[in-house]
Amino acid sequence: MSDLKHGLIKFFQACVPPLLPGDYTVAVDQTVEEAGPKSFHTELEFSVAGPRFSLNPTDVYSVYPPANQSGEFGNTLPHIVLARRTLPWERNMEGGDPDEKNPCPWLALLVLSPSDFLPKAELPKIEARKVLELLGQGKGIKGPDLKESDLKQYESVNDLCNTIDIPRAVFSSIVPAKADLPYLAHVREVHTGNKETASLKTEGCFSVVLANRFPETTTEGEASRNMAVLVSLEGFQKYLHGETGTISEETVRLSVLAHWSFLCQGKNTFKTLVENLKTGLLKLTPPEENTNKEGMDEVIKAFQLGYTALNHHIRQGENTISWYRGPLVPLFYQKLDVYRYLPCADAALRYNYETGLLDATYAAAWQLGRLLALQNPHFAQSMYRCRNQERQKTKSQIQKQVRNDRYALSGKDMDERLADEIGSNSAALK
Amino acid sequence: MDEKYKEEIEMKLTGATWEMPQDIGEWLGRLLLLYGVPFNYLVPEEAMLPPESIRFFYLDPGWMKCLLEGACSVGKSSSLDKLFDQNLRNSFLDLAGEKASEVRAGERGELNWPLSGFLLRSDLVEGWQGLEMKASGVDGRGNHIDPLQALRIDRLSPDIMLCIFNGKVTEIEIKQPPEGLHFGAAYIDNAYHKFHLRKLTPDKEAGDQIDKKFNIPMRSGSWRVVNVLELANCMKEDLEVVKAIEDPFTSAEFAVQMVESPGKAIFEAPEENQA
Repeated sequence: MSDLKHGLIKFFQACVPPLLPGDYTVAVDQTVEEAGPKSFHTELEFSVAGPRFSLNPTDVYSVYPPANQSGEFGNTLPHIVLARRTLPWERNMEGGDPDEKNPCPWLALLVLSPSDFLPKAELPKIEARKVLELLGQGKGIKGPDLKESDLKQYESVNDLCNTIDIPRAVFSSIVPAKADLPYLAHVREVHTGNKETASLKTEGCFSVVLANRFPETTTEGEASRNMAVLVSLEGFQKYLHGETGTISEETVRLSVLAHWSFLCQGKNTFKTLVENLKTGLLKLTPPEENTNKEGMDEVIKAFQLGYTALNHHIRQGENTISWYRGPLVPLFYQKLDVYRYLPCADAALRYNYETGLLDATYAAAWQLGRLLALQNPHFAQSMYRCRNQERQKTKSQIQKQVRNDRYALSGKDMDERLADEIGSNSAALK
Repeated sequence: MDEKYKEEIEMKLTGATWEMPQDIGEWLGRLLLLYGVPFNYLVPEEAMLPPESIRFFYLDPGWMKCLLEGACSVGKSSSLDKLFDQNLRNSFLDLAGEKASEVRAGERGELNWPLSGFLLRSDLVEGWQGLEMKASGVDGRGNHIDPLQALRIDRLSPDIMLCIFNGKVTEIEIKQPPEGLHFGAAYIDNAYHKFHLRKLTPDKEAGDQIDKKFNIPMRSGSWRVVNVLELANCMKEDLEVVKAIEDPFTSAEFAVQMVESPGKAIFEAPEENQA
């Protein structure tokens, strides 16, 4: 099992635990010949406890669709990943020991949608009840076919468990058939290596229970909230889909081991969305009508180059239309080695004498840069400080250079210059 | 002293040895990747980026130079500053560029102009968090590079994604996040379908897809409940026909068939206009 390569996933049919939940006794007999012979006997009772009516939240490793997320999940079969790889096969829903040869899960993941609960279209609430209330079954409520005497030593009728009440008709329609169940749970072994794949982050074996129903989704308006519930089918074996048992009560009460809800909207799948994407360059398409109009050639040309005509309130107060193009252009411009120096934004305004229109592209960029810099006090201060330093440095360097060049013009070499400096200095001292 | 001569040395000295301070460089680097630039400056007209579209672009180095020059213009006060700026104007892009490649990668690099990328406006962006974008293309010298370094991959609004790559993008691959591994089917024309089966044997070909379209058998009634047993039998028979299965068909084999692999799509960048 451990020779799995990085990033691979291996699927197994089932994983039946070697020791099933229940009460056990270990008995040891030993006969010592030397002592007579004499025989000794001792017993130890222990229980293997397994989840039955409730589940430790840490046993749920992950769920899909992610809890409370909204998305186009209409075409997915929800699933739950359980950290215990043996969990779905630890019990037999018909009582007795699980069948190792034909493993069948005792858990099922049901998907509930608002339309199952018309006319109110409200999802039922998950309520915490005592096991007694689950087994005792109130009036008109059908719980699992289990008696108090079926409980193990470590289980009590006063234990709390999550339960859900759903109408009989809904239960019978969506519950898996007995023959479906073996296909709806498997074990997944993952070796993710260094690659992070969020929901499969850790290595190891997990059990997965798959739903048999697609969630409800909407194409318009509000997203549809679906609920997935992991329920125990123990004691319901007679009432699975296609079985002979009939439920006379109106409501079915199930113990819920895990539950979450998610929102479904749209019927677009990744594939259909991707196929419908229109590719192109970032530019406007020229209008198809009025192509004979004067100046249309100019417009088409400008659009081809990625320009847009925008309203421009110029400094003099006039309103005009100017060309503008963003930094994202539909054609390739070489980066130049030398750019024109622009002391201010207006220096970057370009005027076309033929059309009488301004191109505000670069002026807008310049001005935006300045505004963004001023908006960020930290950057603006840094820049100011930096300029000051540079100014000082430049000044002193210029003085030095001018002095050196004076000597350079005089044609004397370094030693002579030094001698001159010293001479003049000592003269000054005297 | 001769004015012209003075200016000459000044030009030679000013800013020539300038070391860009860390914080300034980082901010300019991010600015070069258009962080903080309002969206209407990038896409001034909605018609340029209609819903459900991908729009490819190049980054205009001239525009970027102006943006950076404008940003660096703050704090100007004397004529010496002008010299400093004049000297700097050609190195803005390179200085900021070095930092720009650090934003994502975290290590110093060099920009391969032309930078290019694409804008994606689609429900895809909203519906699938963590989409993976991979691009291949050519650098400034015409060398083919696969994959191109991603300089920026960012969601600008719930349904708009901006991606900038270090080089000229010729092809992009959009992939559904791998954590989206799930079970399901395609929903087309009010019915659920599967388009592929996966081979289970021989070992070498295991996992390979066979084109095989079939409807998912559903339980009667409008409950959207899958008839799992019938579906499993269907798959088993189809696999037996092509001799792609030896072991019994159990929940493990069923799971392999039902996995919807993360979706992936490849788009080619359209030919650019001539400048």
